[in-house]
Amino acid sequence: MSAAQEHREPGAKEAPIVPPPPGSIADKFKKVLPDVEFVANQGVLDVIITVPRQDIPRVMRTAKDDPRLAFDYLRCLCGVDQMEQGLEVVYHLYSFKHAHNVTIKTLLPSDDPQVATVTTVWNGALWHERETHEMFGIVFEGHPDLRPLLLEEDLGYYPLLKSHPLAEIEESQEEFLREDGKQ
Amino acid sequence: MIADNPWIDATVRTLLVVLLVILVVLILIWLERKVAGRIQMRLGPMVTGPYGIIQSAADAIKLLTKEDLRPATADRWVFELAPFVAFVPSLLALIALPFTAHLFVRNLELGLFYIVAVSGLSTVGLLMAGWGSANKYALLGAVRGAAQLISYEIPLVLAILAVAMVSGSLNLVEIVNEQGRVPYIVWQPLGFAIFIIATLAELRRNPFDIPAAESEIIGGPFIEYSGIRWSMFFFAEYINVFVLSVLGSLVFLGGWNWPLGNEVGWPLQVVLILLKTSAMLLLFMWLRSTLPRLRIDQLMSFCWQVLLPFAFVAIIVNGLVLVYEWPDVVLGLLSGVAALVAGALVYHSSHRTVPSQPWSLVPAKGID
Amino acid sequence: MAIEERELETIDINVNVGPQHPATHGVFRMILRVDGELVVDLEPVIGYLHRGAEKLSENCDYRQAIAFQDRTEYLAQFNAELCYVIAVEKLMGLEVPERAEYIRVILTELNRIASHLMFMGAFSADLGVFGTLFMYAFRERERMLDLFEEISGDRMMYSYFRVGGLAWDVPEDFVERTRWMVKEARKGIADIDGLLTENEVFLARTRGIGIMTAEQAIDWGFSGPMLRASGVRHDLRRAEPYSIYDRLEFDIPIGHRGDVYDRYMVRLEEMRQSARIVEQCLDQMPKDGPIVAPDLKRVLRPPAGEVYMRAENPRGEYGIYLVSKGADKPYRLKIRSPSFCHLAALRDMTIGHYLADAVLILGSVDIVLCEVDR
Repeated sequence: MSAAQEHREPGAKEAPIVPPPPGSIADKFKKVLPDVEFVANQGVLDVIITVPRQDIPRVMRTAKDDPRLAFDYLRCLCGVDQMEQGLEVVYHLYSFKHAHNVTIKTLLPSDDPQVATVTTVWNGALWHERETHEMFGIVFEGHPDLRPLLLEEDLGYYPLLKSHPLAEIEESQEEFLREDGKQ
Repeated sequence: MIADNPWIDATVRTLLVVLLVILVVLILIWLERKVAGRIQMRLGPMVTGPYGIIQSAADAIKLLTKEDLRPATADRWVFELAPFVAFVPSLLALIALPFTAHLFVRNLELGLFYIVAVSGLSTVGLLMAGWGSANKYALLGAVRGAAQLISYEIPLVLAILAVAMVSGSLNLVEIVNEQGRVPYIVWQPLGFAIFIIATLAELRRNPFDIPAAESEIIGGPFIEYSGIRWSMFFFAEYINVFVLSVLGSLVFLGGWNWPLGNEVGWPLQVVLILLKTSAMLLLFMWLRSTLPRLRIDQLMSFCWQVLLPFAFVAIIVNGLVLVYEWPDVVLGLLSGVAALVAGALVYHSSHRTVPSQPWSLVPAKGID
Repeated sequence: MAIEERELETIDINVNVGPQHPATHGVFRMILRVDGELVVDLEPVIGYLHRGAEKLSENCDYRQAIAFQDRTEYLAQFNAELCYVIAVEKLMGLEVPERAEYIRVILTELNRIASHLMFMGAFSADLGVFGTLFMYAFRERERMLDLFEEISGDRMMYSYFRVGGLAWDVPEDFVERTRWMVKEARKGIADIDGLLTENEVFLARTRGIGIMTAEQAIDWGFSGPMLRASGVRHDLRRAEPYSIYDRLEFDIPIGHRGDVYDRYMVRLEEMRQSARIVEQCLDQMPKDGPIVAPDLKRVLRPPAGEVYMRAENPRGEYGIYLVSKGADKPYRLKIRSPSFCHLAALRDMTIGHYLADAVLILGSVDIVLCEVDR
């Protein structure tokens, strides 16, 4: 087992879910969207809210439009490969009006990584979603232009997935060089 | 007179002038780099020769030995002839340029007119270079250059025309002799200002160097040229700088005449005219190193909306003074007032959009 | 008698401001569609400098990943390192000693000044000032780079901050030298101000160009000087303070219109405020003390969790999204770079302006290609 596989094992430690304190942004979400089932977690800096993927368009639109939430600023949009659990899309939002922020996550199954786009809500998501698509293979339905941004076209694989090798390539290269040096 | 046979005389004089000009261009290139370096707080060329004097020669040798490239899709004849069409008019202008009352190749009666007319021919060379290069950047640069050069020709000619009106002749030696007591810059400040600005635009130097803007279209029409051909464009530019600077010092600064008069020997007169030329050259180099470059539409609107009307004002003022035979002081006053009005207009129009406090400083405690 | 009008038929040409170009500040490609001189369409093409920093960081331990931050944001390295290092410290719940905090902030703010000086130089080169302002700005920047080289051993890729503090202590003459340097920097900033701010040509070239209103800026995810030039009062050092910024007193310049001129003015004034911060830190800094948090293990294993740490970089909001699963290497290290978000809006900013303005607008965004492409 190579060193790189150490933290890929399913037994890797997960962070415990800590419910956020009362009065946090999770409560505001509950008030605004009472019928959406989400899990709230108090992270290190922000509150993390995990919503099911079919609710993403509604949650995002409400997060921007509702005056109590007023999340007019999309900070960052990225993907995380959680291996067995699937692919995660993480949205970091901020509100200039209320000066509060939140992290919204959604989990996608690995064999069907599709989620609705948020470019209709924030323009800034345009390039973030393109990059997440080319790195993880997540398809954002409704995105106007999902071409690769940083990588070349027709690459054939998604580099940031954990199934794409990283350390193995380096180790096999090292072995090759060692053998070459011995000859 | 150097020889009795007019043909030999003309040939020898021409050769001397051409040699002189090549030397002058090499010195100018070195001077430009040194002056720009000093303004930028660095030394400029120092390694080749004492104080880098041989740098220009080294550059010339390098350029001559470079490979002569031509893009495959370039129009062959247009591409290869363009440097010549740009270079030859600059040399032609030297024929009518006097350095003292007796040092010239030919003192034409229409000397002023001839120089201005011939200088305008190099525009064609620019256009040929841009079109023949089969490159979009070159085309953009050539089109910008043509527009700029043609437009600024007019205020330049009008400013010089005002001087010709007052001195009553287009013969450069006579114009200089007319300035015996007072150079024309004193009576025609507006004309001089217009001449300086129009000259900068004609020479395609900062702040009017948009045809060959280094940071946008990387060399403009000259982008596909290398080696000797590019050096011909470069030479042509510096010869033009020299010619127009000499012209400026002849027409406005009093040439070899003021203040020492015609009786002093010719070496001193040559030194005097070279000093005045150097003053203008240094002014051009100083402006080059400090001013940003104007955009093409701002350039054109400045020419047609500011320079041209005020050039007409200069002509009208000169005409009035000539017709009513007012003393020169009146001319100087009117011209000065017009120049101040022009400056105030430009200042006001550019500062009008700037609020008195362009940004607000918010104490950090006031931010949520 | 009717006068018939003949319409001139014109074609738009595609101008490729290609990866190699003096104006693109790196390997960046813009495909412009121009109608004469007017820009009709623009497509930015990036990715020429993509080196997979995020994937590579998953194979480095937390200390090696600091080097990637330098190489990602190569003009404001200390800012990037600070963001990353604070992210890991927040995950681990570490407390950094006072002296290390102050030194970090001093170096970060000096790097902000250096980065803005680079902007001034490159921006004026785009404008066509032959090189004068570039040299003036770099005179000050070189002094700072010399100081950084003495402290960290490298002129540009410092890798000096460590999780929990600093790698080693600063030289003895650090305080006096930095004080003198800041005084000289103020003079340099005054030089730059005197050369450009009231210059008529500069005003004509930059007023009213590339305007982004506040709503547009927020929508596109702008941050930093670009956002403040549009009039939004937001600075991460104040809104979400990190390190010791809540103890320092400084002002924040806010522009009115969001054009290229405002962005230049905001950055110019930010340099002065950074100088102010550095002087306060030099006064408040403890004379001696530990520079690394005590009892740090050699190999860091932050507890499982995630953090999105954001810092105010000279370019905007630099974010590090760090997911840890308890191992010695990050599980996911996402770098949110401000230039990436700003470039996405380049098309909207440039359409309707001239070709010469496109270069200026790109220059005013102040991109660093390495953080756009990572």
